[in-house]
Amino acid sequence: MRKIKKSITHEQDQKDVFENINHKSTILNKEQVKKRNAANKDYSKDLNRVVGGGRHRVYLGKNASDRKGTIIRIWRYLDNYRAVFILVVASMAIATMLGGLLPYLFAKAIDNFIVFDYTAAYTVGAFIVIFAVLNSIIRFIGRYSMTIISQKTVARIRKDAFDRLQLLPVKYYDDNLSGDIVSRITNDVDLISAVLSQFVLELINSSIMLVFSLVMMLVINWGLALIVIVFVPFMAIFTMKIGKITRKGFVAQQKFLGALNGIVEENTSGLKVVKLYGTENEVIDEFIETNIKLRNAGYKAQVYSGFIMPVIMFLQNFIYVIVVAIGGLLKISGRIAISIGDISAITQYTRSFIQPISNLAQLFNTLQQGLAGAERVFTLIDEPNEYVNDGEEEAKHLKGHIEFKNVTFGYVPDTIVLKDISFNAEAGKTIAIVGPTGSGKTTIINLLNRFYDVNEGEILIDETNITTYKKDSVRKNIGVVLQDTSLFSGTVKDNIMYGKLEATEAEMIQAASLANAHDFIERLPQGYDTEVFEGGNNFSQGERQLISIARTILSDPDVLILDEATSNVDTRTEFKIQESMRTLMKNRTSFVIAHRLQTIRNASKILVIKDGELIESGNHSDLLHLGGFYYDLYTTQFKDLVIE
Amino acid sequence: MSSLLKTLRYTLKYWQYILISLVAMTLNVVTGFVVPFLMVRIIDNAIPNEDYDLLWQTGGLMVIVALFGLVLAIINIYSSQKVAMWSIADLREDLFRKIQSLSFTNVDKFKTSRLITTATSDIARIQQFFSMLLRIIVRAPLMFGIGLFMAIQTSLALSNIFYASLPILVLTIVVVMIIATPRFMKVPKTVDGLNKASLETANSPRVIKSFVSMEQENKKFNAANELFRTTNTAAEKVMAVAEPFIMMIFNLTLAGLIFLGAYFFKDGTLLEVGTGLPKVGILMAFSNYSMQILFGLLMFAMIMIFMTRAIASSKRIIEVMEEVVDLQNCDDCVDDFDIKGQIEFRDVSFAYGKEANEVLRKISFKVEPGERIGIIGSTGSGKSSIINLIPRLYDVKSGAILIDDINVKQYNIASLRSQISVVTQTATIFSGSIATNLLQGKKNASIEELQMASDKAQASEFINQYDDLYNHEIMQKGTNLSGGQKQRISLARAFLRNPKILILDDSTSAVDAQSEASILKEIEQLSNNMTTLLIAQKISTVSQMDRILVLNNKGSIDGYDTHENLMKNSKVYQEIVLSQMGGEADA
Repeated sequence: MRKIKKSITHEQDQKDVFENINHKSTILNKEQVKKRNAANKDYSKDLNRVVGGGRHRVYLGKNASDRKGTIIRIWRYLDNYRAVFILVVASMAIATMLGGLLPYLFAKAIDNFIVFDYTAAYTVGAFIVIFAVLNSIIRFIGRYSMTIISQKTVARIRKDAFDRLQLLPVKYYDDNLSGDIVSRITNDVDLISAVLSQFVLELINSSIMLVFSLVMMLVINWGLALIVIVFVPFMAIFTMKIGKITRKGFVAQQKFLGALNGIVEENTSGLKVVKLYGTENEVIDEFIETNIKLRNAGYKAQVYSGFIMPVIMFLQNFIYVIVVAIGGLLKISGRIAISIGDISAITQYTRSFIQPISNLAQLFNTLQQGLAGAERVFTLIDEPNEYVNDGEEEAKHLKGHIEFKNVTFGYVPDTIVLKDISFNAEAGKTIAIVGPTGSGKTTIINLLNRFYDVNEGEILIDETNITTYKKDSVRKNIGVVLQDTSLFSGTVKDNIMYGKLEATEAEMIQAASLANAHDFIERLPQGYDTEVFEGGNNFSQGERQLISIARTILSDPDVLILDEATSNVDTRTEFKIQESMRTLMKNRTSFVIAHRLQTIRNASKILVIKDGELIESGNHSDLLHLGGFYYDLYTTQFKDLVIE
Repeated sequence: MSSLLKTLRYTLKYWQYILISLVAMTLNVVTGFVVPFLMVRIIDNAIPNEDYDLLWQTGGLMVIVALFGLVLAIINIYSSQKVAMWSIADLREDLFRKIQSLSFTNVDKFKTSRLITTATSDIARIQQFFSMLLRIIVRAPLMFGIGLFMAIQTSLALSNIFYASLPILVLTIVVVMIIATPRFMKVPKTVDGLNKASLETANSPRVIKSFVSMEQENKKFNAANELFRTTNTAAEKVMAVAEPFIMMIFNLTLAGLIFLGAYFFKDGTLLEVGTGLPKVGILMAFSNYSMQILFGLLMFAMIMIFMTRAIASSKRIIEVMEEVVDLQNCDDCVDDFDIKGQIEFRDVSFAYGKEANEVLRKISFKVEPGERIGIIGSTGSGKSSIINLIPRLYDVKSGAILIDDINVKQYNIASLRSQISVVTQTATIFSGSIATNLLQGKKNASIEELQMASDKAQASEFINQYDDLYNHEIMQKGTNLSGGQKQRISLARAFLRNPKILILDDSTSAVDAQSEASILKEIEQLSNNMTTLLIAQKISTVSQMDRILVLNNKGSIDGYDTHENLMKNSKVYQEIVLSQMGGEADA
């Protein structure tokens, strides 16, 4: 406790050092910045793992906050296979006991040999054969069943997590990194899997073995058994102590490893800048420094954790000797009836008694990690579903009249992003939204799709409040082409068909042609059947955008939203798409966010948004005559060409 | 295998520790057999003869041997881990140095992500291998060998048991490996499938929700989930059979010893010569030996599985280590020089990789010192290639690039690059502080210089909002900054250097229009003693430059002139203007 306090104040000191700096006149050097950043760093992700292998496992992360609740929930999933689970527990218990009887039988045989009773020895041998075979068969039944039910249970938890994920509001995705979301469904669920397959079996095995060996020792000779038991507290204390030290070592190692991998990642992916600025040597020096720290920390951690095995082995041997010596003494003195076989049996049981103690300590690490993982998965499953309190009305077809009435909105309660916005979009007209980055353009689109709901005011579609409709029915009728388009795995065809699963081949190709995507798709080695990898990384951003435009054309929505839809298409290609875009926008209400003049100029209404407020609205010539913000924007961005 | 040996060479530097570790390990394994061996004396001699002295002596000896074993094990840990950690640190350093020295042709060949995995995951696996090497991997064969030797020494008769159990165990292991390996090999692929399915949803919730295709995504995921489950279960099933079966072999060996013991007690081989008493101690010791021998064999099998993975990793490491860096500094470079900023391309052709298509074809143009040149062309027209060639990130395929009439290949690379600032398309920012990033442009710059450069890059506005100003923390990859902020920092870094040549590769794309205009104005002022090359998508940006280089999509020049003249002469330029302005350009 005292030590912990000390380390906290130490870190505090370091933070304070940096608090009294006059940043106006001082530049912290690299070393100082590193120290400060390290003091502020959140290591929880780096530490959220079990390190070391086999007997040296140590879990470094935080424990689940509600261990009992988490265990109960895992148990509830297992409950579907209650009969099988009982079979597993029973068979593992029986198998362990059968296995536990073998040293006793072997000892009996020894005693038989001493009195030259070969028939009895043969019988014992036969029993060993029978028990060994039975033990393995029963153990196999337990393991095999557990493998099947644990895999099924885990698949079920994973399915539940994913199903819930699909029902979560967009806010959840905006608030969490995609890597973290994926990790909950994959890695964290795997941790539960480890608990089910390893922990359950090992727990039964080790605890039964522990108790059974103890009972056998007591039955054979309680005096010798007591000697063995005397050592238990030493073992326990040692295991705990070394566990703590090892943990500390591994924490340090993990931190340096994180730092080193950070250096590698940054300077490899940023190699171009490293070379252009000639900082190779600096970077290498930084690497060497951290590398040495990692080496020294890793050495310590490995050495400490390496102590566990030999010390336990020594203790086993030591107790073994004590048992043999004292047993021999008792035997020779003849005061207590003890056979050579008994001594042999007790030495064997000593081993099978001590082994589980260290096993159980290691198992605890697996359990803790598993529970922490399970808790993260369950928090995902418990996230509120966005369809609770969904509207009742099914919007089969939208005419496309959209009205914002005094809409105020913020992603977080205190920061308002849109302030009292009101406008009207007539059915079938094109509305352009213009404004600096971060002004709230995309937010309007988020509200239209009900990815978020307004704080104040209301949005009407065809004179009906948007919340009256079922969310999905509104979304189905609004087509969106986004700035960053990632494609789905499958073929190019699958991706276009995503817009309308029941579309025919001809419709699909027509949509692609309209989007100007047909030509480049045809040139692909497998045409429309070309595979899409890694979210479409085998296509250029422009090509991806064309595919996503085709997808939206195919879906034939009533309302269209284009959020910088052609920003990554090069200008010549864009020119070619314009025509099809115009066809697409004809007779549908369309909202367009764009940098480029062409689209903006032809809009029937332009909304100018700045700092969350609607400052100007009207058509192109209205706004130019107004001479306000739009005029400024227009003239700075396009001045040379305006002069012409 | 040869690559694994090559990584193993790194351990040889610490041969003293290897030696200590091996000796300690061997002796430690021996002590593991000596303890049961000594026990035979107690059981077969001391107890039947009621010899207290022998009992105490042997008991004491056993404790000493056990203690000796402990000390040896600890020595082994210290020395083996010293070798492992020190040699892996050496290897890691060499690999990192190598990566930093690679040319971009090399990097393109390997791919950045692959280099990172090699330097992190593959190294981690080799570290694990090194760390196990002198502790477990060497132990298994020693246990097996020394155990067998001790067993035969103790009783040739009882050693007959190994004629049965060893072949059966070996056969079992081989069969298990043959069945299990392909099954386990399938698992990682299905894990990928699972990752892919969830990553898709995590990355594009907006698309999925607006097409209301949740069910379809669920179906995809369920398919992946089921495939993973069945594949994984199929693999685990093998282990569920193998483990109890191997256990059975161990236990049946025990039974076998009893039958074998009975046979040799009967025929007198195992009876004490003088007293005629049965040597049961030997039987007890033997049960211990045989378990250790069989265990050693089993461990050996598990190591083999581990080795195959280590070999794969070492192959990837050695591949990088042995890569020949194709871009070398010249032998008699011009070292001490100040460039004026004249650039000339003479018939330059260039391709990424030997077999790749040419992205630049016979390009020739000249830029005078202080000139501001815009570069425009459609995607893939080779704009970025042009600027990659000037600071010699790549070498030309044919033709020559001259700076101040001297071929770039004749300059010392580091000195050449130190006089050029390139601002890349995606701003690369490093973890640390704003200042540590800026200072890459000029070491030891004063705070005033930082302020000046930031002003020019329009970065001061947001930097001044931080309490800790230039000391503000930047997270890895600059995740706590917006795209526009990152671009401004990377611009400021370039300005700080006061370069003779400034190259901007579409590096204001995420900056708003007004700031961009101010940045361009700054560049105009600097251009008395600085040549500027600027790639941009927007006509409005390049049209302000002195001259504009227009590239067509075949990698050749379509025009190199002022905006006004290009409007008349360059078809590509006209097309671009048209697409950006709609009908307006004709007006």
